[in-house]
Amino acid sequence: MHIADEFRKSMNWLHTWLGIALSGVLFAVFWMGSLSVFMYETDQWMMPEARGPAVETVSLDETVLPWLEQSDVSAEQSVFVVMPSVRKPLLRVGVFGGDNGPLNAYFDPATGKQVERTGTFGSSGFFYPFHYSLHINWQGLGYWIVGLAAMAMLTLVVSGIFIHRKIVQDFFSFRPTKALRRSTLDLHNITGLVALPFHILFPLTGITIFALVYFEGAALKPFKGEVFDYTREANGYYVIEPDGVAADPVQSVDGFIEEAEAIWTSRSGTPASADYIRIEAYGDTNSKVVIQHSGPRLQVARSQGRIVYDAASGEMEQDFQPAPIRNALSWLEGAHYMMFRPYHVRWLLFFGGLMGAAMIATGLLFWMRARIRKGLEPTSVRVVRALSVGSITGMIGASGAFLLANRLLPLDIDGDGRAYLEVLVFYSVWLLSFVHAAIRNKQAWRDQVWVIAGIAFLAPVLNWVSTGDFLTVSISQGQWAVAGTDLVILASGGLAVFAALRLKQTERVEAAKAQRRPVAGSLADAASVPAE
Amino acid sequence: MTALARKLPDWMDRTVRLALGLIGGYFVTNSYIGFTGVALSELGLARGEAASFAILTSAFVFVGLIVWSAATRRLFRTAIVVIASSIIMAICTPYLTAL
Repeated sequence: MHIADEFRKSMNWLHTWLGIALSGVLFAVFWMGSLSVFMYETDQWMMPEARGPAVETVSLDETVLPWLEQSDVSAEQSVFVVMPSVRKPLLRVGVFGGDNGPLNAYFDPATGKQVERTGTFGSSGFFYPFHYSLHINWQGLGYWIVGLAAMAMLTLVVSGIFIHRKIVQDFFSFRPTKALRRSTLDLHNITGLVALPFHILFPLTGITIFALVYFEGAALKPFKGEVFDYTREANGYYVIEPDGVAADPVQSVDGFIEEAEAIWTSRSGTPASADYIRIEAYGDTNSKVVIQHSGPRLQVARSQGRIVYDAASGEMEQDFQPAPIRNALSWLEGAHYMMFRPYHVRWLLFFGGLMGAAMIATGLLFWMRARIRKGLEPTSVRVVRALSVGSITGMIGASGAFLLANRLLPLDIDGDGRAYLEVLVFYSVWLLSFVHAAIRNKQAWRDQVWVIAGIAFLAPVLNWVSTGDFLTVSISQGQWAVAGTDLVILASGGLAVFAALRLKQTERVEAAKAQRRPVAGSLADAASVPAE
Repeated sequence: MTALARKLPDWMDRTVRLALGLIGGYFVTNSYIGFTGVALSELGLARGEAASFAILTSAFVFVGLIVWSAATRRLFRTAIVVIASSIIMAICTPYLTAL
């Protein structure tokens, strides 16, 4: 065999088996990651109190500092403040550590008043962590599984490129009227090629972001294993310990923020605003105020800008600027986090992520149909199909059920109970989708796609009934986060209806073929698909 | 040993190759990050920069090793290279600081 053919053959099996082994995880990660691109917009949909005109200037001296005094915060605790923005309209204050922590409070920046938040983790608290940890926190196992999947994805992309003899031709070949297996492969190739840069960007940057988890010992070798030395030199962090001597709590933070923003704006040439504030050693003589600027509005790169002030004297103690290679790493992180403001760029990345999910799903479907044609025994077919259906449509349906639960569950459930109930709904629906797929076998795809369509059409109605924000209302009020979420959900419903009808049509055609020719598959059709 | 590798059934050959690429690749990448980070910092680069550079380039090393393990004709030789390079880099890293 020619060496190039032999290499292509080895890339073919690598692509197939690595893809099959991790396609379920990869689909979940890409799906949840795509949803996370607009997580703060979805949060506004899930938390009606967070809707409304965005006010980005707020006085922490008038809102947060009085609340801290009332809340008996001690010097051993760390206080953080997430500043409001167009995407995150509420001001959030958190306190962790100590006996009475963690504490959380939300303020409406327009009125300065504290807001009682809906009991939900929201998209940023559930979909987002799911995409990098799968919510498996035991020994950080979820991070490792996702890391393995990310590395596999990079390998899949490389091996996928080598497999294709006619990469340009594949780019323009989509034959939706051909046999389902053929059109599935066409769709796999197109989604793979059109969004190729994103298929490389997302896993590569994801691995980079969590490199300290995967390669902790090695990455810390230059620092002799001292993690604090690394975070200080690379990211400018340092430990602030209380002296143990009580002092008056910090009286003003607004002035520090104003000065820090002016420094960053003049340095970068684009408007820069503080988005994360920390108050360390509160009420101690060594109390410090840390002003961070991590998500620039008009830059892809995440900023590592951090200015530290002494709370008592008001003196600037640190003005950290990362070194060039760290900046390159920050660009990669920024390209993954997508916290920048231009919406159209984030839409591009959102569709890039969805194309990744579609590519993974079509790859799995193509492999499954190829196996069925090769005469896999009925029990194995049933198992493989149930796993595929549950991993793809089950995951999408469960995500929709999570949104429905958010609008249906009573608001007066105490504590985090309501939030955990939403999560319970998600996992129950996901689990049920596997059971349903095992029972319904071939019809499971169509059933579940119809369920997804139903959920998608019901969700905006429930949003309207529970909040009064009908689509026309949210558009007329300029609540684009809510209106956009409704529109995307409705569009998903339309797509699901189309898919369900197409599946029905395919089933009819296949049934007619089976009646005419009892032996499955024709030689001509088989020859049109490259051998695995 | 090469002959033995050729005699392996397909599924076992592929499993060995995948295991070599993923597990062996992980250990080589781990050693590479440590070695490169320390070597660059010893050459005068700031430690944070050295570590960031090593992290930034590590994914390419890992993917390259997975592809190589899958495609190699001489699986045993590749396994030796993967294991040896990982061990050599891991052993050499502490001595770099003494140079």
